[in-house]
Amino acid sequence: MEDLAPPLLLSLEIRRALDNGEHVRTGIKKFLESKKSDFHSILLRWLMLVERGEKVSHLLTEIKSPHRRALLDLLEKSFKGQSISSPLRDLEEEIGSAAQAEVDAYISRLPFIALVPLLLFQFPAFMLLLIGPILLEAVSQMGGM
Amino acid sequence: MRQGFLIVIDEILLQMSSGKSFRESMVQTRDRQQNTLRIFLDDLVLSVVFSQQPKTWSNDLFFQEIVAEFQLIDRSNAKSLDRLRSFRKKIRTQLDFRRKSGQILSQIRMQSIVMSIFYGVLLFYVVCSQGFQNNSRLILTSVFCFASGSFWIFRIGKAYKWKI
Repeated sequence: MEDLAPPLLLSLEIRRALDNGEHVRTGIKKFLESKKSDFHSILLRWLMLVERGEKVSHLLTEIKSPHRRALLDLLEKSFKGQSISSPLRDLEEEIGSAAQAEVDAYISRLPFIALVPLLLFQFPAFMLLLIGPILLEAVSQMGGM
Repeated sequence: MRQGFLIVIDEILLQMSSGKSFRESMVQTRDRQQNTLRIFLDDLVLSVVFSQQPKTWSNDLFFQEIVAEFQLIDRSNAKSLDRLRSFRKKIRTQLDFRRKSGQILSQIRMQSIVMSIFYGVLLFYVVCSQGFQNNSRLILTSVFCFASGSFWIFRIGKAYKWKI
C-alpha cells in the first residue's frame, strides 16, 4: 500500500518513456528495475513472448485484474506498431481511479484490521500482567487448603 | 523530502517556462532554498554538472532516481519541459497515494506506541511489586504476546497486495 499499484506505476513509466520520445520497452524496463511486485514475473514472461512474436492470450487469462489485462493488451498494440499515446492516457485515468477506490476501501477497513492484533495479542498480554499474578496466588492458596 | 522536492520541480518548471535553460533554472532554484533541501540540491546540481564522472552521490534510492532523471533531462536538448512534467506527475501520484494510506497507518502506529508505553509502565509495576522470579513464565508469555501484536500492527499496510 505504501507503493503505487503496479499497473499504475507501469503506465506512468510508459507515459514518461513516450513523452521522452522513447519506446514502450524503455518504460517496461524501468518498471522492471523498480521494487519487485507480483506483476513483475508475469510482465517479464509477457515481454519475452511479445518480443518473440508469439501469442500472449493464454498468459492474459492467468491475470485476474482486468486493469492489468487491458494495459498489456494496449502495450501489445504498441509492439505491433500502433500509437498508444492517447488510449494510454485514458487507461491511466481508469487505473488511477480504480487504485484510488481500492485505497479508500482499504482505509475504511484498516481500523478493523488493526483490532485483530489488538484483541488477539495485546489485550491478552495486558490481562496476563494484570490478573495473572493474582490468579496464580489464588490458585496456590486454594492448593494449600 | 518528496513534498519539498515537488515544490522545487514546480519552481524549476516555472523558470523554464519563462525561457531559462534547465541548468540555469536548477541553479537559481537551489540558491533560493534553505536548510536540508539546500544541501540536497547542492548535491543534485553537482551530480548533474559532473554527470560524466561516475560517482555514487547517495545511497538513497529516491535521490538516485532524481539524479538519473535530471542527468537525462540535462543531456536532452528537446522536450526537457515535458520530461520534467512527466517526472513531476509520477512523484505527485506517488505522494498522493502515500499521503492517503500513510495518514491512517501512522495513526494506528501511534496508538500502538502509546499502548506500548502503558504496557511498559504496567510491566515495570508488576515486576517491582510481584517480583520477576515468581512470575517469570507469566511475564515472558505476556511480553511475547504484546511484542507479536505490536509487530503485526507495524506490518499492517506493508504486506498489502494490490488487487487492481
